[in-house]
Amino acid sequence: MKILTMVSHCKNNSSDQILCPIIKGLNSAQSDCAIIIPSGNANRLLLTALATKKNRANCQVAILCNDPFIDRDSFFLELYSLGVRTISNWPSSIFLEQSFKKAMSNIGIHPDSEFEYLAQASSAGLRPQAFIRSLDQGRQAIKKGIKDIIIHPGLNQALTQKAHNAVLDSLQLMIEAFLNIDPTLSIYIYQHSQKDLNAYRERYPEKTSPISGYVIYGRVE
Amino acid sequence: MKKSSFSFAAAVGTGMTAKAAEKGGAEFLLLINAGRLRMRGAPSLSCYLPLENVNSWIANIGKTEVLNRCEIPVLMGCSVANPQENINDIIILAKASGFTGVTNFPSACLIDGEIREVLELQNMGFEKECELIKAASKQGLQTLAYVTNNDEALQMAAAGASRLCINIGFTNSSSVEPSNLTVDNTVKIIDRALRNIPDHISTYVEGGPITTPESALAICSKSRVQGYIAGSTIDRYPLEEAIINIAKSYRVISDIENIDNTTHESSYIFGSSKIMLQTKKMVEQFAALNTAILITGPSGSGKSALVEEIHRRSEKQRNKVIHVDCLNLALEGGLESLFGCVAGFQGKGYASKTGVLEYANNTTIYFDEISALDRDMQTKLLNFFDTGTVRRLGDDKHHQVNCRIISSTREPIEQLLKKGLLIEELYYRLSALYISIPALNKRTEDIPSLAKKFIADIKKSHSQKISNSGLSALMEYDWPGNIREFKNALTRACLLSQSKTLKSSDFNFLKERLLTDSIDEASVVSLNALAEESLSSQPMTEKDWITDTLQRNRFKRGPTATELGITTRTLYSKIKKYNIYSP
Repeated sequence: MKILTMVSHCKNNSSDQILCPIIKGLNSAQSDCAIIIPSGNANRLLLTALATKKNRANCQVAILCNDPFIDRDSFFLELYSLGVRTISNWPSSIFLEQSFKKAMSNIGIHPDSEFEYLAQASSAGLRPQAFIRSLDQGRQAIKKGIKDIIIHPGLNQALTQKAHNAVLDSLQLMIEAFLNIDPTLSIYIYQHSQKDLNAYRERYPEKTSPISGYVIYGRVE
Repeated sequence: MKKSSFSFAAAVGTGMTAKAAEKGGAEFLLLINAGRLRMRGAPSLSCYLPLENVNSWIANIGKTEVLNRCEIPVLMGCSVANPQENINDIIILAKASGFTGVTNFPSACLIDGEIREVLELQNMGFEKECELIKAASKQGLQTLAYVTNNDEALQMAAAGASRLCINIGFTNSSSVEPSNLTVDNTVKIIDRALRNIPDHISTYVEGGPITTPESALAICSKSRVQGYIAGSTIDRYPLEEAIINIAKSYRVISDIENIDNTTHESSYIFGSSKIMLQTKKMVEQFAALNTAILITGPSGSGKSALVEEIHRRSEKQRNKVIHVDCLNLALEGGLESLFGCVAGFQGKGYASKTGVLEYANNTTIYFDEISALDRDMQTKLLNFFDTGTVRRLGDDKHHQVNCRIISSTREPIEQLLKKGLLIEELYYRLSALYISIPALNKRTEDIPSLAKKFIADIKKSHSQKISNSGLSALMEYDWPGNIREFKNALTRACLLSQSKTLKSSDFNFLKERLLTDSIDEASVVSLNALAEESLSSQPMTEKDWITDTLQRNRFKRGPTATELGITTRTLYSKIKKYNIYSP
């Protein structure tokens, strides 16, 4: 079972890390809101971080798919030339709701456009990994041809044990549904902390789990 | 509370837009990242995305582009969403950069759903924005707080905000979502949001259905807010529109230049459209021959001018063009006028009279609206066309006439033949060569060159020129009266304009004409059942056109003829021909 860590920086390359510099200084709950925190240029920070890394082979990175000023093809080429081989959509619009979600959707900022963006990266030799938080979003991502799905359990809110268990159970339903669509998918479960990961493992022992691994939030390597 | 006069401010993102808004009368400015992103071609809403660090970005733009150029207060749009930036540091940055105050932009107040709850729980949301306003206010900075409802307004009032701006949603076009909000609904939302807000706090509105100064004023006059803050409505939309218009104008100008370089020898009736270039070629070829020509084209399309051109280019020296107005010949005495008559013909006591045809020797004779002649006259003309001789009425003697015959009609030939208005035998003789002139609205690309030529030809134009906007106005009009109406419009504009350059406003009478037409149509609809007929999608016939113009001019023939661009005599004959009711 693979465990990937979401990090804002790392001196040396590690194939089990997803590099996302814009989340620097944010805790896991704040990181979920990164799509609406205008604290810097997410993609420029990523390119700078990659340029200063020593060993860049087989990098995994998270990109802002909704950047209106990035030329897609040249961005993919640049990422590839910097050693990137896997990309995912973070910060992501997967948590937006209600009227704000509708308004953002109207200007082209929505999960489906992120999946579309990721899917196009395949032609540049980059493997797409899609963060999703609902059944519908997962189906959209799979429909776009994305084979690596990272299921996010939802925003990091204090929940009762019962509610938390319900969330975990819903993740299982999603896993089954996605594997029914395509049994060759690699499915990862995102967790905000080691504690959450432990709780998940306890409820769903790895021996019987059909998932490929976990993504866990971690500020530093 | 007695409201002060309408107040206005602008939310901008560049030095250029800031300076322009100040010049236009904005009382203060908000320098915000959305304004900058708009000017880079992104939607306002992308202000929430991690594209730049808002606070350092806006501080830098303020220092380098805005604060050293504007004299009115400029407030810095500050984000508190980044947990690594504390309130005091943001205020120090705003003050050190030279801003007069701060505003909470982009604000969490427009974000809803669970993610908003997380923002608040993590102290990255509206409550932190209240802290910003409170701290800024304490430090003597001006403050403007964006809010969406009464709770938020009360919180910001308590924090010491000196101005409140009710954001009633993203401006329609910025979210590409038509708003269902009416003015009255918007007024209710505003007044509800401002309930129990102290009078000393200035209040503004922004966004939603407000896209024009008129809608802003309407909402401000009906609600409690004193003013409007313009964002995309003051920079992106007007700028986009202006750039599109000016770009179109450059295209027009380049068309004129091309025409100047390539077609300076041609007559003004031609233009540079493909169809008119073909016509020009035909004229060059046909002018050298002596064969009859038939020209068709709608009224006012320049048929007479084309005849003059053919005559001018003719290789054979002919004295002049004799213009035979067949509409007038259709009246009583037309036959005598055309063929002449001997003294005492049919006992009417006439003196001997020479007809027009007899005078036509060594000329180009032009039968304008040949189908207006009755069948008897058309039959008599057959012989003239066949033999080249003319015999006065009542006379046996034949006079040889050597002339070039050109005829014209405005109605399509097929219809004339079908209706029996043109006898077939005559048609075959007239149409050895055939030229069709399109309506002006079918060749609008010719308008710039035609306008330039006509203005130069108008003696009283005092070397006037026409601006790009003027040309645009001409190109947008439909020209039902074709070249004749076009020329009259330019003459009118040249005579009435006080300026050396004709602008769009010098052609406002064209818009009035369109408006009058539509109003007239509407009144006809409401008054009688003839509406269905007049509103049919069929093109307007000449009869309809004349009837319409007569009605518009209250059946006064002088003004009607002037508007139609014809003589009162011709108008009279047309009224008779079409049996138009005219009191």
